[in-house]
Amino acid sequence: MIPLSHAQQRLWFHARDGADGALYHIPVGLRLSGALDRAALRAALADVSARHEALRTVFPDEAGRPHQRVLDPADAAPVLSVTDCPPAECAGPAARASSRPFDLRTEPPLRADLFTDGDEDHYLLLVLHHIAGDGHSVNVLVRDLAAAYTARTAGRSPEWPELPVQYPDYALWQRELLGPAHDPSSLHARLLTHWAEVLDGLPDELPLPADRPRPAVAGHRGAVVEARTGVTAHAGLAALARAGRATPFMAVQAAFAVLLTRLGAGTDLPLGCPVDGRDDEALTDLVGLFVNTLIVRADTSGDPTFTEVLARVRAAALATYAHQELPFESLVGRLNPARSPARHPLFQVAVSAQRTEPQIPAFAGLAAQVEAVRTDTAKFDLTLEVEELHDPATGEPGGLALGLEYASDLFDEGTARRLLDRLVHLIGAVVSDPDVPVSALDVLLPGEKADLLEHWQGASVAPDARTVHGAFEERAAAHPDRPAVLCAGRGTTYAELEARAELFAGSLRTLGVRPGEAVAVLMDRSADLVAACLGILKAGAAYLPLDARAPGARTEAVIAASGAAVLVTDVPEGEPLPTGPRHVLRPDAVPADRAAEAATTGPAGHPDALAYLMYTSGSTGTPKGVAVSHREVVALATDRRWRGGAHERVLFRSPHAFDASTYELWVPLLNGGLVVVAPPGDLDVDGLARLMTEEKVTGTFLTATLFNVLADRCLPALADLHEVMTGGEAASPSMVRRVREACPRTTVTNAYGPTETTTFAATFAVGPGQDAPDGQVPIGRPLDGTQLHVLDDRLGLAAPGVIGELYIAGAGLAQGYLGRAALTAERFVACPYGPPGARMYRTGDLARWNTDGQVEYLGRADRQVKIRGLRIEPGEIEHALAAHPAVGQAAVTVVDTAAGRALAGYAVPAEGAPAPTPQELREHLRARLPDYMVPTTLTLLGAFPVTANGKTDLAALPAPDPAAAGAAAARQEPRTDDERALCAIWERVLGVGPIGVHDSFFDLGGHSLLATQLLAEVRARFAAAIGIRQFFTGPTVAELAAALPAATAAGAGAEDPPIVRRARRTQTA
Amino acid sequence: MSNPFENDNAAYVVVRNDELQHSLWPAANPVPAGWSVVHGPDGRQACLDHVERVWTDMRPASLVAALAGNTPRG
Repeated sequence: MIPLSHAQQRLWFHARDGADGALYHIPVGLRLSGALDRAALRAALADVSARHEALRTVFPDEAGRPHQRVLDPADAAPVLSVTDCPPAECAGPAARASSRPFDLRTEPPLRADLFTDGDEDHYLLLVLHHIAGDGHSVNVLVRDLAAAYTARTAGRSPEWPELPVQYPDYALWQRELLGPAHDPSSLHARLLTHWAEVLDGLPDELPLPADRPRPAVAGHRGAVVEARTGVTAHAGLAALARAGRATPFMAVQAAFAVLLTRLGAGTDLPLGCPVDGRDDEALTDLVGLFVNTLIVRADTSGDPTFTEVLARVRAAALATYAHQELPFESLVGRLNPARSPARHPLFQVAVSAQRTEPQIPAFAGLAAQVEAVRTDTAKFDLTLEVEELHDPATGEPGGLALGLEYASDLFDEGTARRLLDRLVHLIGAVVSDPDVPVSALDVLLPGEKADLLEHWQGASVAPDARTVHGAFEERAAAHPDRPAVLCAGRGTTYAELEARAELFAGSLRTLGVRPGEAVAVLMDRSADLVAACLGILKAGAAYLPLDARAPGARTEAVIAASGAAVLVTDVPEGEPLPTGPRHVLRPDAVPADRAAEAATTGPAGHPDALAYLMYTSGSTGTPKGVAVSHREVVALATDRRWRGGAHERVLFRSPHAFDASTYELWVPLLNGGLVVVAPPGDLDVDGLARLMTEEKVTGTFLTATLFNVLADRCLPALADLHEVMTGGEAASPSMVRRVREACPRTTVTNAYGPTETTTFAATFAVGPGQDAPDGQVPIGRPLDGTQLHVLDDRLGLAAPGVIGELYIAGAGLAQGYLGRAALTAERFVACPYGPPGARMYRTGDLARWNTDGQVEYLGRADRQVKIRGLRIEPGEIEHALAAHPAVGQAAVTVVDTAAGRALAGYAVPAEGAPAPTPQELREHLRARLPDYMVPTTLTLLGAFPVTANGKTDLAALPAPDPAAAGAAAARQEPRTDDERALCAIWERVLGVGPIGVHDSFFDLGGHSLLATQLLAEVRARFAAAIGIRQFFTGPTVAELAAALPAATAAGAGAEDPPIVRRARRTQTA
Repeated sequence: MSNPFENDNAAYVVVRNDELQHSLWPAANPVPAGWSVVHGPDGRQACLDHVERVWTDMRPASLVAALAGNTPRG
């Protein structure tokens, strides 16, 4: 029996499943004009099929092991299907013919379809399966077909020299040349040793600037965008290559590697690289699969110059060519990377040289023209096709024709186009300056810099030098009788609030409070709390809201750090108070009318003086006091986005010590609106809903957790709001959509901002008539006067679509952390993109600009985890989990298990929905995420623990039950006869045992060829047809057993080779 | 992605603007307009120690000037 060549074996394995459609089809179109002799064409097709054994080889298998069977020429001549159809209209039928699957077990790998109007115009479509040929084979095939046709029209047989060898000879020769991989003296073993060294530590997956996360199983749908460099850039790149003794192709590889690095793909870039494999002259005129794919590992680390990258790529490419005989599949078997049907193993990006010399085949009596046909597929995430054009007269460079094939699963056409345009742009840049560090090269397209720095930024606003209390006083003077605060049914007008605040200020001055000092506030939410804060500002001091729920020691540390000498509190006398302040001021000690107090109006105050201090938890455990000036509060409150009435009646419900209260107090009060004070203490959800409805609240801010709960349980309460803002954590797209759909008049706004930038830095509003986004909800664009910058790891502007860290500059920036100079200097840093001397706040959040110019928040930079070498963003998994209709809230953390780090998923069932089972959730995630992102454990909880400021407390989630851990837990014995039988097959195929029913096939050393054998045995034992892709998504005995019943039902009639075979014989007879 | 402000092995400088605000800055990057180097290049921690030593009044210089005559904050 003739074995398959190694490359054929790999393709056979992929084709076996039949799911890859036209992925491995090579269609080629011939436009023929003139009087076509169909009989001669049929005879010529038979001639080429007779000449090249590869074209009449079929691949039957026994127990999952295929072999080559060369059919007699008489049995294998390609059928010429003729369709009456003007060639100009044949695109649709031709596309269908191109993608019709081959049954490689019985069907020769060449088909021919003729589309003709019967007269002068003909379109001949040849479809060659890749298992029988490669790019060069197409040239051979067309040339031989033309020669045979010409001979046949003259009534002769073609006269061509006999081929020295045939493809099966090559397959046998290749096996002998390489020898067995387990024999250390074999070429095979030596090549493996070389490649294992070269590819040691290769990243499993390249993070590409894609539009969408990778689906669970790569769809292989794709398309191509094209671009061309100018002649000068081509000539320049060729000169650079020549100077470095490299080829222009290597220079393009190097430029592409640099581009990917600059777009966030890292500095270790495995690039797939096809090698043609026809070193022996005897193979030149042969149709067959000789091309092999290997890897050029481009190293762009250390911010080298382009010249240096080119030298590295050249060395890597030369070493690749010198070791090109190693079949790719052997390499995958040896390196055994974490397998996933979501991505190509070892590399996801390829660069290939196209040498398609214009071929004009000589068909006697016909004018012929060859056309490459696209199949709308993509083998890899990205394949860059490089063709050098030359002036036909002079041979001088004529430009580089570049094609970028992209996986449609991941990339939109526009994104692929920009990627290719960036490459063209970058090639121009390196040609003009090859010796600058690659970080200095410009990868932005014309106009993008202006988008990033101007058009997408907050509108510039005139400086507002008022103080908070000054702006309030203007309001109080303008409409003294308007209600300012509503608390427990009692209204306070602007005039009353102003008067009360003055009294507070007077009492504070009497106690010795001086401008620039801090005054601590420990009060329940009330009208007097609002008056106290205003009074503190009027006294020139900054208010320091204390968190009533914080431990005493923390509160006292905060008071000490702030230097506050006065505490304003409504805690009744006799109850314990934090120690530290020298004086305590109780509201009831503040005189009730102005007459009792000497009018001692203080100075107007300075806009850069501090308005408040808010302490947030620091990573070291020491709370840090964010110091915010009047100017920034006024900037927040006077932003134009609050206009229009949505924030006329705003709910004050956040704990005063958290910065959402800045919005809740000052946005209404500085705009003439009303603060609706929620009752003291924690409000339950129903109480909150009732309050919003009864008091006709128009605008409110809810933490994402609370928003989700309300969206789940109290939708009607949200329907009366003009605008509901949510933030603090990533917004759940499904919840935003649910609210938008159920509350057509309510604007749902995703708001983003750290305390350090005064509550909100950016918002994204989905208003009436607008649809909630399908995927990620952006955080939108910055507030007036504020700038968001997404920067790469060298502080360069990340191109749109590329993930970077988010920095915030402009209006809203706090002065820093009170008394913490070093901490301030490392978080509030010099801004290279603002006016001279400007600062920017380093958020530690990952973000990117989407193509609409909206910022998307992608989680904390320090939350991103690596598991088995793969970068994983837990937030992405949380999004997917929360998209399940029965899930209300989702969280994902990383836990340490005996088997290493693992993902733990948690879900709270949605209100009113039946609680999902962990298995259901697992299947839901499997359908949406790559296997390595599906948590090992999934735990259902009644509610999530929350932190003091209402965010999910990830650290407080319970440790997952190991019994729920599936594969990570101890070996699980087979439980049914099917599982026992499957375990026996596994042990036989893998040569290991005993097998647990949750053990992953790939963790046990299985690889794709073994999987094929395994499934062949399963098919024989159970008469069940399980596809390899299906198996990849559930590679355990338990999952295989669960899939058996459906597969058995489908398997019975799934294959019927004799019918196919007979039908074919009838046709060819 | 590594953050350029978080590399313990890289060289840093301390820069200062007209408001006398201080910032850590990676020595490999050009100093932004309106800032000048007042310390370094030096190790990250050494730069931060310097900031802690010299930046004792963290209020913007323009505020300090405007308030001159008022009681400074303690």
